[in-house]
Amino acid sequence: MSLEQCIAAAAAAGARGIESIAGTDDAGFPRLPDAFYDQWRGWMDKYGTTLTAHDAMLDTKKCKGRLLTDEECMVEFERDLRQARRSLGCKVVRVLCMVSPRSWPRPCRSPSATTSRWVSRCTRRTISTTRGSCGTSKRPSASARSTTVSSPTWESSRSACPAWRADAWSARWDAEDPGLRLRSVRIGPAVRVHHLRGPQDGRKRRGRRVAEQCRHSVYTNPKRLTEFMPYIFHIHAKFYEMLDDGTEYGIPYDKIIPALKAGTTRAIRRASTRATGTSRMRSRWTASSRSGGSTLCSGGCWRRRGERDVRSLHDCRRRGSQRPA
Amino acid sequence: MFDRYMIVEDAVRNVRRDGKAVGFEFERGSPTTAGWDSMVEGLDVTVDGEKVPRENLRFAVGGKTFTLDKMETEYEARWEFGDAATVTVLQDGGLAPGEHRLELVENLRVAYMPFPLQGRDAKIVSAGG
Repeated sequence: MSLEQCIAAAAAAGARGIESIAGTDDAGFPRLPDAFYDQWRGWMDKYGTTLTAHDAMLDTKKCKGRLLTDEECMVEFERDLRQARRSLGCKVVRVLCMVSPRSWPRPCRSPSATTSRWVSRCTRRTISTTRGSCGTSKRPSASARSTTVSSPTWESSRSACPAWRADAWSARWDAEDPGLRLRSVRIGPAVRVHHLRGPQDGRKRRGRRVAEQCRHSVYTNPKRLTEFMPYIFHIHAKFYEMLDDGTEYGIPYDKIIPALKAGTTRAIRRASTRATGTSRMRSRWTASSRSGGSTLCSGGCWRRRGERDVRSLHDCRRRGSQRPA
Repeated sequence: MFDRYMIVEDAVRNVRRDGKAVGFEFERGSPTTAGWDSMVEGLDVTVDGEKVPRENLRFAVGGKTFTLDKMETEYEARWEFGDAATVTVLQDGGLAPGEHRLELVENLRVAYMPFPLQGRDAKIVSAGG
């Protein structure tokens, strides 16, 4: 399918919000001619769609042997912001979770796991640097709530496994009914354990990273989305594998959508009960020196100002910390 | 990912210069995501169990041809999604008539993966067919 055909198909399915992955979809990116942007706007008009977000892929591994520096990322990020705002006309930019938060002026993120320490660190920084402005946000990816390891992840994981192990797992994978693939979440720890016992070489290190990738992007309880609703304004949905009946079995949308609806209701109710609307909301959740403010601790829980920062998610759960009502 | 599509088996042909076969080339299918040529971390080609020296490989995409060393610092050329690359193996006499086992191992650095994305494919091919 061409890019235009993809947009047409999405519109025909009722999905009017289009997210642009320019680095992949737009041949010639980042040096796109003006004619491309004219054509893009023409497609949006023709199919009644709206560009809701631009994906900044930020190729941090462009140079062999090192990651791009924060300054280099900043240059690329600035380019993407211009691309999104001036050329394509959207206000939301999605950034990979692999990119250092120090590279962003006012980020919109795509966390792999809502409760990860990385996300908490980003959220804290954003809140503190933007002082609760409208730019603070979390852009959760639906894949962070998947209940299985998707086939693409599995296929890529194979490369980090010894051949005999990968073949054995593949046989199990192929033999399993899709509905039973929940068992496949075990490959994460299994890969890690295997490589912990294996030879001390680069392959082992890569295997461990595969395992971590599988583990941290597997599942986060969708209910936790409601805790972050004040910062969510865009959802990045994914469809890894569709069954013949049109169901995405790996991502529990039947739980995600109700959680978002519940969170939206709570957020609206909270906003409407504030005497001064959003300004009061900001002051309440700003990690500033104002008295009474709350912030995210590094473990992902909410704490009031003055409380000790909790360093691990385990401790957060033990404390039973919740966002203040 | 999608390893089975890496080697395009019906796109293997000998390369001739001045009427003499100086090697052979084959097409490597479209990557799973677009990226810069410099993000090809490594490329290993094995013919009938014998690994081709790195200096005898050439990689061409988007009308430009690079050695693997040159490609490491190629920050302007992009390998677009949908574009097949051409891998040239410099080998006197090219690929002899008959069937051969061709193996390709490729490592790509992908920004959103915490580990190099490795692809492997092996096919029985013959030059010109």
